[in-house]
Amino acid sequence: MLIEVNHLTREYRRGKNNVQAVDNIHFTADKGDFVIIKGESGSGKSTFLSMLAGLLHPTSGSVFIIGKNIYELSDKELSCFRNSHIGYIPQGHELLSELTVYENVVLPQRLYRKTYSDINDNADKLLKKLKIGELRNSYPCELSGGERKRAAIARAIVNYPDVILADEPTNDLDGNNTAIVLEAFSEIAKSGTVVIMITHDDHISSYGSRIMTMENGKLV
Amino acid sequence: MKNDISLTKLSFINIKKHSFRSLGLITMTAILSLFLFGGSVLLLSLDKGLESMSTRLGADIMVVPIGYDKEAEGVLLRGEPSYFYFDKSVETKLAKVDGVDKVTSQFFLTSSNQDCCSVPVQFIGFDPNTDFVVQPWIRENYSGRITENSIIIGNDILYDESGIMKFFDKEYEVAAVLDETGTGFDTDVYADIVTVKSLFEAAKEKGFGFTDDIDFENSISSVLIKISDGYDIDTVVHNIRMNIDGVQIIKGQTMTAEIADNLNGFRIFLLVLLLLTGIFSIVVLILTFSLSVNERRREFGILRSIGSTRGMVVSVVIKEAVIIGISGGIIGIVFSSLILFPFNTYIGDSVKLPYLLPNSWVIIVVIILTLILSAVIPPIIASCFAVKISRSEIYLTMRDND
Ligand SMILES: Nc1ncnc2c1ncn2[C@@H]1O[C@H](COP(=O)(O)OP(=O)(O)OP(=O)(O)O)[C@@H](O)[C@H]1O
Ligand SMILES: [Mg+2]
Repeated sequence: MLIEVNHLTREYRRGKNNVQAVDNIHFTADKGDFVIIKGESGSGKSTFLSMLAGLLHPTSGSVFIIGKNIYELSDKELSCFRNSHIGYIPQGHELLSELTVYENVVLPQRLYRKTYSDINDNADKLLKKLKIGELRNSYPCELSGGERKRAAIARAIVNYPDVILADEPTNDLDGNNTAIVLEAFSEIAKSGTVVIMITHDDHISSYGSRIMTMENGKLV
Repeated sequence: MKNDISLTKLSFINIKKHSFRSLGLITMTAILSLFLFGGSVLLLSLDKGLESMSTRLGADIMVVPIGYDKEAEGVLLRGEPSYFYFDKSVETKLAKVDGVDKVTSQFFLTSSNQDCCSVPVQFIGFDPNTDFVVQPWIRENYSGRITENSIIIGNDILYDESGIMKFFDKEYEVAAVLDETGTGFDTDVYADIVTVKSLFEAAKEKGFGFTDDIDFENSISSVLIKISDGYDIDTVVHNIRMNIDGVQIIKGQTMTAEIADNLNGFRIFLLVLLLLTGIFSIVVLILTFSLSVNERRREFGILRSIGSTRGMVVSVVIKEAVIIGISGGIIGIVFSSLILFPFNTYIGDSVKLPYLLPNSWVIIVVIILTLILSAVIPPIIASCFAVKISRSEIYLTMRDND
């Protein structure tokens, strides 16, 4: 299994109470899966996804990705692992506003590699494919919400990760752009990458190979 | 590569894009470095002034006509020209006092504004045969014998290439220029007592009334004393008091001690000022960095989410702070120098203490230390906040200030 999640639980403290945002989830996904997670607002989708991305420590439970228990890695190991194996597309503002679209997209490639010759310039290809090629030198503040979202998607897939985790990536997109993004995800999934995507939109479920629903922190 | 990006470049871009924030931080480090550098140079100059003063003073005791101690100190410390006379016989009397080893006399004369100088000049005539004070340091710059009609001038006195200076219409040859001391010595003209007395005559001919009522052949202005080994100054001063009336006794030690006292007061004032500006600018730096680093939590979250380690994120902030620190440091030093060096004389005059700039290599060391401090303080402050943020959950920092 490419992803294996056991007894995953996350509590938040809110005032005096504990909120069980993710409640004892078991989950697996394998190469080529395109998982779509639906669920009401506040059901714990984002919390779950960020734990898969190695961005939030679980209260209990474990996450294995390509056989590695990611929360047992050191910060350096986990960071490097995230850089090369996980592409994460957050909910909300996701680009560095000081950098151009192109710089944002290639930044993950520049963090660890000393020489750039081994990187074929896939960033420009990705931008073209997502129909924002002409925006490569623009700054995020000059883009529409949908264009920004697509730039974040390009950044998430630029390092050919094994897992793509997308938190409501089609939220700001119109039908046409949604199709572009979903086609891209399907294609990536077919090439052997696990894609896990959160959405509110019932119409797009047809793209997924597995549809799951989150309810009160539980995945059903 | 034209389009390339790295975390180091990100630091530069951040500084450029947030120019207002960066300017504020640079200004604060500049203020810190300005006071650090300026204060240190000021303190060092005062120390050096005192040091050169006490080495040049040379005599243990100085005896002047009664009531003229302030004027004598003015001549020595602040270069305030003055003249006063008493009878030559005092010298012989002093030589006989128990505990007195050497005596030598000096003859003072003052020129009003001559065509040579923008400041009035103090002439000091010494007796080459008995002198033990002036000649040792004249010898540092002039090895020949000082002949009649030749003069040796302090560092602040201007003269033209001809090497000839005119006083009261008589010409004198400049034999040597002395090193700078930061004291009244710098505006003095030294010459054989015979030369100075010839000046005196010239002045008299020109009708300077002040010389009329004294018998210059038998007059001197001060007697300098070196005490014998095994005697302490106070005993000798007491012996002089017992034997000779109508003289003012000035202890060389007391004079330097007085200056050292004033200097200490000034030093404490400077240090307190330095401390207050230091604390003030560091507090402002802490507040500004805490605001600016905190408002960037989301940025750090994004960097972490794409795989930056804690260290990488902190290093982005550190690099920015180092750039800011060095820029501020340089600006502060430049502004400080623009005040300190061009207005050196003015500062020396207004502190009313011996003031002498340190050697250039000392200044270079101070510059380097100031730069190191300004390059180190901002990153230390900034990294404290950055480390704290880098410790929190990445997902939660990304959701902040949405
Ligand atoms: N930092 C936090 N502190 C306290 N409670 C939190 C925090 N973040 C999330 N929660 C709570 O945890 C639960 C799950 O939140 P989460 O953001 O995972 O939901 P979601 O399914 O992604 O919702 P949405 O569809 O609106 O994005 C919610 O009840 C939320 O209020
Ligand atoms: Mg969510």
